[in-house]
Amino acid sequence: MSLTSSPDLTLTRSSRLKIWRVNYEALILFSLLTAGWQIASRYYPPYLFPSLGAIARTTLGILTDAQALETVALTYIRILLALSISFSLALGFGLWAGIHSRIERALLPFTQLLQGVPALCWVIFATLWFKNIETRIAFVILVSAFPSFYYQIREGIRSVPSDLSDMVRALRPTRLQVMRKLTVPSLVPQILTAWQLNLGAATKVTVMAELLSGISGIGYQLRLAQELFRMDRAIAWTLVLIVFVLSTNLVVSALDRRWLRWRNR
Amino acid sequence: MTSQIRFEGVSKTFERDGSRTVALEKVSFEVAPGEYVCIVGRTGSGKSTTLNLILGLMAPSAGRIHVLGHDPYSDFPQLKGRLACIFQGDRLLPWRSVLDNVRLPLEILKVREASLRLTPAEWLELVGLKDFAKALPHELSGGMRQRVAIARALVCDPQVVLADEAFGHLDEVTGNHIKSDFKRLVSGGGKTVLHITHSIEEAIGLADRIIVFGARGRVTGCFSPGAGDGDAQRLRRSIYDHVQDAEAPPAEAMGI
Repeated sequence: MSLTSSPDLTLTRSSRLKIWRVNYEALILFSLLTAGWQIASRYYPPYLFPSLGAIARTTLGILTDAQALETVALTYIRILLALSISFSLALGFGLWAGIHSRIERALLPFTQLLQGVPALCWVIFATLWFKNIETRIAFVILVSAFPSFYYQIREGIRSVPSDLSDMVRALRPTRLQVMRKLTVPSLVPQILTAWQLNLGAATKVTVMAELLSGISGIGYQLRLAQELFRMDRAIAWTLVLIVFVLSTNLVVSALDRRWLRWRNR
Repeated sequence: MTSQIRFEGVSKTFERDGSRTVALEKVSFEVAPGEYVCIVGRTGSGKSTTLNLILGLMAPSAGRIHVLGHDPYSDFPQLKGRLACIFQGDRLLPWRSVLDNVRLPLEILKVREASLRLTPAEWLELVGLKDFAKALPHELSGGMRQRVAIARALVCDPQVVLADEAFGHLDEVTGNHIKSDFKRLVSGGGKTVLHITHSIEEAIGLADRIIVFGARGRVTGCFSPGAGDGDAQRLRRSIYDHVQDAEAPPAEAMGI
């Protein structure tokens, strides 16, 4: 039984009504573009403007062919695996830098340098340094994504509210407890943002690496399409890539809604 | 009876970029077991520094501090779970449910719920939030969140409770309800309370004894609202005069 007076029990929980609205403007623009494409396909050869039907058939062919799906899986696994390694390293270094300012000072120019190097240069370096294709691609994604992950984590650590930090500090937690109870949970928004940014960037980098120095994966298939003048295949593989980026972003957004429910103020 | 909080000639000086700011200068006072003491004073009079020293978050530059017979800075392990604080603002972790926020001190101090007089869920029931255990802080009103902060402070059954402007951000009606509930909870548990506040009204309403801080924590007055210090109006006037007449704190202590 309560020993206290009745508090104001009015919840401020926001309603979870979802309002779906058709974006007519985008729909009209998209319809105009596809209609324009279809008209162009009647006047230009298929290696420039294949018909929408041909693109659809090729896309369906990729999605129903086991070997093509293996190619898709190979590229996706490369992206996710290398990003996970890059993220783990950035998290470790970010937390370390959060504890020791000397580490932060040491890492800052290094990450700035990494960020300044274009992804294409990393592809060239990797091609010259490593013989193994998987090592090349993993290296390029790792070094390209590291600065973004690291900066987001570092900013997250810096932006832990000092009033919460003081409250936890008053209980004399161990460093590990501070990490587990305060720092890491408060980093989740920055981590999810970094993943969203890096998924798109890593897809581009991976495809570029596969295209320039690979013998497998979607990038390699795009190179084959270019060599064979198969615009329909190039577009179909591009659509597969777009689907991957959009669907992984949807997964991250779902995690965002689930894990960051506390931010719905 | 041995005091539970004792300041003996405590001074605290901050040095930054070559300049020195004296926050406290030879401050002495005591708080007896079960006593509810309010410290009132102007901004920059050293109230928050006093609280941080009691919490052991910083060491005094001179003098000695005893909390439950221990130096809170060098001997804090002896005070773990015996000293709690309710801060200005609720300071709930926004990603944790209400119940998990109340559990936080137990997790950090590694206290088993089975060993407690009252479990976190029972504390929530005591503060009138039984049905909101799974709610997130942003789903509660300001008053409800402060009740959670009270439950979190009291869950370890501490002997000494510190409150730093704990109710200053609430509206008057909500604040009055929560203050009287807080007073009932701490008095019922025989706890010693040191409450820092700007509000003379709040101090008169809650305290057994009111200490007025002048500049650098100099004690300029001491009043006992319930022990024949005149009628409420005269007491209010007298405390107000002491706060007003106190030497203005140095500009740097006020952040000017």
